[in-house]
Amino acid sequence: MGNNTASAIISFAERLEDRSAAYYRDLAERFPKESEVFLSLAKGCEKTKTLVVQTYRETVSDALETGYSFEGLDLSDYEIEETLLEDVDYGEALKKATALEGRAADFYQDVANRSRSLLATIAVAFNSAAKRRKKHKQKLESLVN
Amino acid sequence: MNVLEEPIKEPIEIKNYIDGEWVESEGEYKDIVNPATGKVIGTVPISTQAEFNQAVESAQEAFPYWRSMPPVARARCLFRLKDLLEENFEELSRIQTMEHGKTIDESRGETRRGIENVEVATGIPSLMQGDYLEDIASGIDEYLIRQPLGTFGVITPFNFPFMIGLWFAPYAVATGNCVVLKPSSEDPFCQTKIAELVEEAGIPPGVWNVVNGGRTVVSEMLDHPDIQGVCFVGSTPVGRDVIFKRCGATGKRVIAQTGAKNFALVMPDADLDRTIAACMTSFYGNAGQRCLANANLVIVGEGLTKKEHEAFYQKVVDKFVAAATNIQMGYGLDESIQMGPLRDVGKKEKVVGYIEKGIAEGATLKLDGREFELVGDWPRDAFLGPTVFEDVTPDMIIAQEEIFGPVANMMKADNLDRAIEMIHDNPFGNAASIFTGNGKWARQVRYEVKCGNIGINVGVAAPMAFFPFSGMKDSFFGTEHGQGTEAIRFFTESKVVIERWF
Repeated sequence: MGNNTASAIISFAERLEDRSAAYYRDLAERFPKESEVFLSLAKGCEKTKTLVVQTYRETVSDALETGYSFEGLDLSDYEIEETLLEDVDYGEALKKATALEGRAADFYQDVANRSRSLLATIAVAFNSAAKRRKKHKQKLESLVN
Repeated sequence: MNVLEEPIKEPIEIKNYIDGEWVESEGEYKDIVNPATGKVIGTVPISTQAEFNQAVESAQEAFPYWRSMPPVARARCLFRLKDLLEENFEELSRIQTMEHGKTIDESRGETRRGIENVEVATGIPSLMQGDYLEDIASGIDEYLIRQPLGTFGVITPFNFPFMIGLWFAPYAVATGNCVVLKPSSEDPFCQTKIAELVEEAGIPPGVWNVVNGGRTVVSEMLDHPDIQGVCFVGSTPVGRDVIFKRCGATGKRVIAQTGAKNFALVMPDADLDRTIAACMTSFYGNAGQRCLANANLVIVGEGLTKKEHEAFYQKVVDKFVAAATNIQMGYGLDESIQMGPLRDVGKKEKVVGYIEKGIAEGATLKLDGREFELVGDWPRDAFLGPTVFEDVTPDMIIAQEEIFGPVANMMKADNLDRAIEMIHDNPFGNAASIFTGNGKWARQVRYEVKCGNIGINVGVAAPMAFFPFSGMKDSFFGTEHGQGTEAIRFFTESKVVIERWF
């Protein structure tokens, strides 16, 4: 388990959003009928990345707990599996996407819970990111049904 | 271990920026070493008196044109500079880590704070406005105009190589003055990069000059008749005995922000988990090389019996030591790192000297930073781990003098009055913090303590760009402080006009 400085957490979030967005763009190509939905999810990931990076860069100053470490988080718990097999079917792809959203939402929520009083601006941004991921999940579940 | 890409790939020879040109110095050059890797990352010139004089001459030539440029146009130059700083945010931050040793989180925080000063200075059309009163007598009006003075000198320290130049230069330039900036010769890369962006932003030649060097440049700056004022951040002996005195003798304005020995008071009702987390950044951030770093942690027994106080003291010390022990130390470009090295081996030796003094004068070494683990295979030369002394009393040298390293002293005070007395017995007055849930105690500290910057449940009481960076006693020499509206006043002369038309 690595040491989760703010920088490490933000880098992880950036990678998470990049990979998720790429996954949804891939789905949009494979399943053109639902491409609009998948592209909107990809866009949501890009927006979250912007929110998270901007919050970090624009509000975290050198004086406020820059050595802060998010204790008790193991980032490997939040790694996502987003590669698609060549012959993956629609149902399987949606299932994978739903799992991805759940894991991402957990990541944001867990980080937010650990920084409510110190680095509080990160908590606000991460709560918002978790909310967006939960909405994504609901949207995907509605497609399954 | 995830080490971010280094922006300085090959050693860079630093040049001076004079009259809008990049000029090689005729002075000697010295190596600059990345304190974490031990590698030479460049050379810096020790410029000559003549080179400094050329910079002042170019500033004096630029001044009439620059001061007559409408403030809104000067602000636009600063807006362009701000945009360029944002575009280069990550590179500038990584350069700081390479030249100074601080962690990437700390560097990015420093970059943000520096940029915030440029942002504030862009408000110059409002900030520089004067006052007007009609009919001070019948038919007579009176008004005040703020005018620039000419050329200012700025001398920056090694511990914040990016930010501190920006506490002053943007305000000087925004108000229509010109500057000659001397960066620390220990880590001058950021100021060179800023000057490149100044050039790109279209700030005219001669308005913003950078002359690298040492004492020769400083001495000439203090004596030069065309330098109207000097801004300095550094040690108390230099700030008080050299900068302040010579500016007084030569009739210059002066801001000298100097040394510190900051106290943090922990009250019995403090939220200890959050207090200790905040203290880690405060005591060990920037490897303790920060004038706002807390150095003495006073565990206050207000309202407690002697036995309860002792138990509370032990609890705080144990939590503090446990947290300090967990700090990961290594190269600041590794994202898992919480503390980097000291700026150089000499600085480490000085801090080690204080650790030895502390042992000799009877303090208990609870955590010995001389023995440490390092993340990554880096030379250990400039690294020093978090250190904690117990049983420190106010008369000890380690409690009184500025160590400027990762050393924390655990102290006791029976009550809040005694804790405040301890702060006041110390010659410095830069910052003090209190950790408590009690508003009355917090107010007493805010009201009584003779320190320029007060933190209430905040470990590093660092004023934002739109507030002055204060300081009292041996921590500040001058009248106006850097940043915000005080900087505007420092860089302008108030002219009063009384007007009657027949």
